[in-house]
Amino acid sequence: MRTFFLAEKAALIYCVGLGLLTMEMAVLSLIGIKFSVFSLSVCIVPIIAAAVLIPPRRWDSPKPFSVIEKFFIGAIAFEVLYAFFRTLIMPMEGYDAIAIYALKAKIFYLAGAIPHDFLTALKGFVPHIEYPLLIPLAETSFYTFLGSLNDLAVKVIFPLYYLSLLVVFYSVLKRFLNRKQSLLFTFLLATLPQVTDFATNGYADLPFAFYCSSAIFYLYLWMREKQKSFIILSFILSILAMWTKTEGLIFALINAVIAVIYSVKERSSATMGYAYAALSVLMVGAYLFIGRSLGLAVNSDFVSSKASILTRLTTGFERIPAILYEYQIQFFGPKRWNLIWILFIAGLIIGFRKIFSKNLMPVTASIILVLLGYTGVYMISCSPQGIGWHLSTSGSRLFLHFVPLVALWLALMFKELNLDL
Amino acid sequence: MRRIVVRLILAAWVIIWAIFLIRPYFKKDLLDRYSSLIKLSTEAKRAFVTGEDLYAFIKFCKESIKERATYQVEGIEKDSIEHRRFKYYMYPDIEAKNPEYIFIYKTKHLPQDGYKVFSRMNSETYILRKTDKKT
Repeated sequence: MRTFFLAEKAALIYCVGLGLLTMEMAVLSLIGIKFSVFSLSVCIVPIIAAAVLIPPRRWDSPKPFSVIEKFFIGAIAFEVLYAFFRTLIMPMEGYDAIAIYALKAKIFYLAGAIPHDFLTALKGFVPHIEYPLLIPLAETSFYTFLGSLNDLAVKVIFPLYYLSLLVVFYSVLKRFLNRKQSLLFTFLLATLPQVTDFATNGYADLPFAFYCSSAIFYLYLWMREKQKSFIILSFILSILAMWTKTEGLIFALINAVIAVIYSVKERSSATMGYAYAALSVLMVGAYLFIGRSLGLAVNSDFVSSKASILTRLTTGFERIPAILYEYQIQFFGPKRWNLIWILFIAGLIIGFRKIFSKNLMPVTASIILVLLGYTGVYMISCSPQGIGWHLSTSGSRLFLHFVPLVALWLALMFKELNLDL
Repeated sequence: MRRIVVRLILAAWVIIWAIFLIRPYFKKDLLDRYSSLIKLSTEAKRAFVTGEDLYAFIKFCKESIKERATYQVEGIEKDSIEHRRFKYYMYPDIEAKNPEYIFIYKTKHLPQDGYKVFSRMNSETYILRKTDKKT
């Protein structure tokens, strides 16, 4: 079946393929096989080849581009090229990029595997040893294929995620909106300073934004078009989000909730929805179980307190003013977000009656649940540097994770309100 | 009317986009930075980003000691970005307690029992090596 557009398929092959490759690398390490071009290619090449052979869905018959469409395409192309330029002009330099991801990648590459004593022998040396391994292993795979440790060239991974995010976002929109409207909202997403900055700095947040947002995009497409391939893809993306950052656990649970709400309403596809939700919860449980078996915290920023999560959540209410203060800094900060959060708030007010309409409900509910989930995380956080430090260093990054979802919500609201350019 | 509002919002968006795209070129001298970086080799870019002095010190340490050694470093604030870069570039040499080497970076001599000067870059930047083989 022609389900995916050609460019969309290419973007998914890159991001899903890379994610699955890193999972294969973890398995290779477990069974004692060293990383090599052959061992890395043996599983992933047939999967990619099979994906390439699936015939793509066709775009509408081509019409000449209007001036405004040409402007959007030019601006998006400029931002993408500029992101590649900014990425490749300097080696790894961001704090987490070098301290966590690049260091782990170097360790894995030089060892030719994830060392069997990685979690014990290097515990004091590598910060946040408990973090998921998709990004370090993706960098290691790049070094393995390249045959050398080039910490400048490896950064190309990140703008490719940015490009993939834009392609997938446009392809999703194109199913509901016309070309001009789809380009408009892709332009808005492409030109957000926070998105472009994180497309270049070697952090895991933009790849994570790709996986967690796309998981919701395809869950939403399944709800609208009822194609099984969408819900299967959503589930894979959801797992890859967990494999990229721990926050993926929150998104997997949110997706499960959304699937259950939908299945209660739409009995015709309820079985798939319930199965999706059950498997998502199972995967979250498996992640937590494996982490606990290995003696790892879910996130070491949350282990210093001996109080139970419930007690911390109760006392965490005192932090709500500080959390809301950080949120308003993000909402009204054009330096990072241009007008997107202001437009979102305006959309909530103007389109209040439509926010839980059939077409908007899954996306609205996801955004609300993500905000509640992240607020809950801040309430129970016991970062050694204090909540103020935790908010100021992570707030803008957490907002980045679901900003593509907000852009989708704006596009859908645009259509619901019968607006045009 | 609705179309005009949408177009005004888009115009405001484009203006804000342009401002924050151009601003770093004036506020952070981005043009100078990029024009310097574009001419450099990968190695020189690493030195540029890390800081010339610190990068020279890292190279000095790596070239002076045996591979896969343990070390501690004095003169670089713990957990600072410089410390993280130092650890990254030094790996597979690992920071550890009771190390084989102590690296002294731009710091006046710190007496260290059981260690003696092994290699010197200058009067305030040098390497100490453990002398007591029993510990």
